[in-house]
Amino acid sequence: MKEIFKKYGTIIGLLIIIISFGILRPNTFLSLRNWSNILQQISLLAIISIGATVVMVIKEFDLSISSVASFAGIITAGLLVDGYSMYLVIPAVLGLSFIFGLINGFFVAKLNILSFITTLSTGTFLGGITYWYSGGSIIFSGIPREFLIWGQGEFLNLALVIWIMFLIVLLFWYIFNQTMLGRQLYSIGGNEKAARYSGIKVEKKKIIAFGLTAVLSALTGILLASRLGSAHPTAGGGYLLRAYATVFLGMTLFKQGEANVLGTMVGVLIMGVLANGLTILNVPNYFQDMLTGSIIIAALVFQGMSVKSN
Amino acid sequence: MTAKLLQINNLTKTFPGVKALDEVDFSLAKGEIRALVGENGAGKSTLIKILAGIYEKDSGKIIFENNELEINNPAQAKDLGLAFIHQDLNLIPYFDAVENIWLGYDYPRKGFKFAKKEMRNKVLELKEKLNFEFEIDKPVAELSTANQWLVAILKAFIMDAKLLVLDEPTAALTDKEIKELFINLKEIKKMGISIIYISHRLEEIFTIADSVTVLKNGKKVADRQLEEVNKNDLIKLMTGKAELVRFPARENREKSDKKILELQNLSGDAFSKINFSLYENEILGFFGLVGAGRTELMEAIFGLRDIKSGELKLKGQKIANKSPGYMIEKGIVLIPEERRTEGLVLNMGVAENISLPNLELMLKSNVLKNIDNQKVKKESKKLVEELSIKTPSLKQPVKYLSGGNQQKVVIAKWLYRNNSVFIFDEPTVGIDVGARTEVYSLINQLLAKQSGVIVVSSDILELIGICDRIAVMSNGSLTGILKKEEFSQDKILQLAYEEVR
Repeated sequence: MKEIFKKYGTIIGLLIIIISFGILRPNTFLSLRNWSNILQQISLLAIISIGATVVMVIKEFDLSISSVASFAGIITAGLLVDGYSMYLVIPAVLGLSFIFGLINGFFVAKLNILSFITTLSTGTFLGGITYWYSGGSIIFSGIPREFLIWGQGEFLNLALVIWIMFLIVLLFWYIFNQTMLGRQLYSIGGNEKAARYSGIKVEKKKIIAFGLTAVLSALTGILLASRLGSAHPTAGGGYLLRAYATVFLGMTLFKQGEANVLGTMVGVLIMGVLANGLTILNVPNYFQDMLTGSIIIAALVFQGMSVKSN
Repeated sequence: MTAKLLQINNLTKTFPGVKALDEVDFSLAKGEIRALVGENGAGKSTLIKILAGIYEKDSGKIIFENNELEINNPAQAKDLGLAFIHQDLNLIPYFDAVENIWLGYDYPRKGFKFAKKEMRNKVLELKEKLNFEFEIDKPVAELSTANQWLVAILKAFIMDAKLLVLDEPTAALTDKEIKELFINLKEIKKMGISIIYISHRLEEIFTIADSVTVLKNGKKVADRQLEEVNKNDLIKLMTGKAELVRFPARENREKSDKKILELQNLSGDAFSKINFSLYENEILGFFGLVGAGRTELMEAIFGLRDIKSGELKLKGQKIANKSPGYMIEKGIVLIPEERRTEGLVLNMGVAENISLPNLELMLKSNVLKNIDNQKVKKESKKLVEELSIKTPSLKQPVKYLSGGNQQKVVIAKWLYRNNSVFIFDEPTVGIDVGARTEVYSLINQLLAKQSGVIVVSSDILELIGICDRIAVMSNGSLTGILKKEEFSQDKILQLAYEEVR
């Protein structure tokens, strides 16, 4: 019993939250429509959180994810307004962000600078570029309608962003659980030296990990701009803390103490369901923040205890 | 002997599924040096951790200085005067000796400031009293491992320790340093302080200890004065085996003149102008004092360090030491000294560790690079059986395996491929006597596959026991290579102490 609680405590927590809201507001909260809403609301957080998961697997931090998201949103919107085709712009921005991630990885892996400091600096730098490009203002007029399809369109009765989220989850679950790259990244996170002695090109893999994180962050920023129909130079700011909160929540699950895609998704669901349910209950925003913070701490305390008792 | 310091009666401790200590009695006199021996899992560390207040005992009595007491936490153990010095030493590398020694005690103050001078004087005084010699104003990271041990021991004296527990103090020391440490320990003994000395190296116990306690499977099997026993008796007591073949016989090993690996004038940061050849079917030993450059040389061959000049030839072909990945591809592998920090990903399972360097050979598709889990399972299972690795399952995280089984997992990682050169760095450090023999047998088996083996070791007897030739390094240079018929401890040591330049 104690074992089960230790292993699946976070999922049990999620179920308790769902059941409580279900009892309090059965008609609204449990409706199919509301759940499709919840999925739509969490989709962007999910994608950027999986990005954060990638670097957390190798036990590094990337604090530039929100800057990359804002940057990608602004540049995409700006170039679209300038009349470039979105089929050119989106791949270009994703590619540019990938390169930015590789540079992060280069500083961390090759020059041995702490990832925390590296990405804090490069993120600040990128934030500057974003401000410079946008002049600090929101870009909204002149964004072509066809671009809005990504964030606002539907496919088989579900928002397109939900499908994109599913695709990303599946893809990264596969990478981490079934491919050589995933196994190697976990081994680097578990013991970098042993990975190196096993012939793994540690630096290269680390750099790739930072690249992937940046791509997912950029994708989030682009989808956000598409959903809102506008791009703000700090649009991605709110994602940084929430993304890592979900990763940490997820670390309590499945792979004890290690970041993993499915765990992160449970974390994302907890955040999404909480926000949705509390809004339905008309709980004020500040109280929502307080509650969310407490739940994360509770989960981490719980995990800390289970690590110790090992 | 004189008065009793510590008396333990019927100490029992159970973990889920294991009786780690089973009604163990133990008593220690003041000023006695007691060796505590036993195979891995015999209960040594459980006993020590109960004394340290880390584990709670299930039952039994602890009587310290004639008072029966409970030790509930490490702080209480410290207050009683029990000092535990573990292999890791737990020093802060960039603090100097004085700061390290005082760490964890109330720093003496002078007004608003620390009384640094007073702290320093106290350390000097202790150092003098104990005849320790090392620099106290340098960051401890710059001290030798032997001197770091002295710092850790002095730390115990600030709190007026009555009992020192030393866990494998000589594991990383050279013979010369061990001798010096033993002189220091004898000084400590003269002051009436008792020592519990844990070591896998049975030889040295006879030099330093008065008496020995042998544990096996959680039970105490013997308390002896050291005059009464010899090494073979101890091994018998520890393993329960009547006769122990320490070094397995080598079967039909023929001399070959086929050079597998050849070094010509190889120079790097910690070694210079190294020349030697490794022949097929040969075990070549490498001996040297700490700092002789052996490990650095091996790491350079394996692509972990740069080569400045000279040539490296594999089966007659010149190769560049690009990276470990490249060398592994070419068939050169290194089984590192620190198996927990360099050899294994502790949180990963047995199969995941074994397959880690072999993943590209275990893929379903070379495009997707997805892992063939069936193959990983099948091949790992084969190796686990071949090496008789004791593990409840292939998924068991390797951190839960014993030292001997962990080492076998590290070796198993390299048995899947056909390698030409196996380099072992200290293959048996911290492994119990029984598992050692198994490791030696494994090394012998490797030769059946048309390869050569290099064994780096600080244990001369081990090298003499298993090698065909022994190369000796000193101060970054190769001072000699001895053939089997020339092997002797004296000769090897002579070469190891040879002054170069």
